[in-house]
Amino acid sequence: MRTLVHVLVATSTLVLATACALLAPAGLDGRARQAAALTLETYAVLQQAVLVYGRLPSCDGSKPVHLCREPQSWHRLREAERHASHAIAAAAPVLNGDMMDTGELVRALDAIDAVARALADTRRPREVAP
Amino acid sequence: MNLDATLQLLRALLADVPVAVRTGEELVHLLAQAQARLSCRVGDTPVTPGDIDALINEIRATSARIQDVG
Repeated sequence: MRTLVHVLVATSTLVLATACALLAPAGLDGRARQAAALTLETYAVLQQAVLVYGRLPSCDGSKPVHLCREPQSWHRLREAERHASHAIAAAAPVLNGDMMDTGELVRALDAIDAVARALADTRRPREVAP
Repeated sequence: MNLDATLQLLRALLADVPVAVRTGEELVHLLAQAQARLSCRVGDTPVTPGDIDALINEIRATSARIQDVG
């Protein structure tokens, strides 16, 4: 799981950085549209990683498991994913050139970044109370 | 950092895949899928509004599946 998260977070961070640089100018040319598609593909892969994490057994301590899902982490991840999917849907008309960008692209990229960060947080060791 | 360099990094990171193999077939499948999907998107193939719509519809559908997980 750690390798998976490393790969996805590193890749999505780089793709997001590239996409930000390309989408920042007002015009959405062919190259920018390609960057947008790559970003959406990356997000679709990130969603699959979220699903994998969501299907892990809960870390409730009732039975020993090698990999488990922290309820708080899962809640944050699921909320971030819901927000990102809404933001992406809201940006769709901008990506298709049907509407002027009034911040939809940046909001979508920020929301995708939040999902990547929430996924990365799941690999951090649980804090132990003193 | 251009898109080719991004894919190069992804391939380098995938060299560590034996660690993921131990965690299950699903993760390996996901890594392979990630590489395939991202590789397909790098190139000169033009992206149409229909491609964007199809991706967004897929994202919506997967989001619904995620929100259904308890």
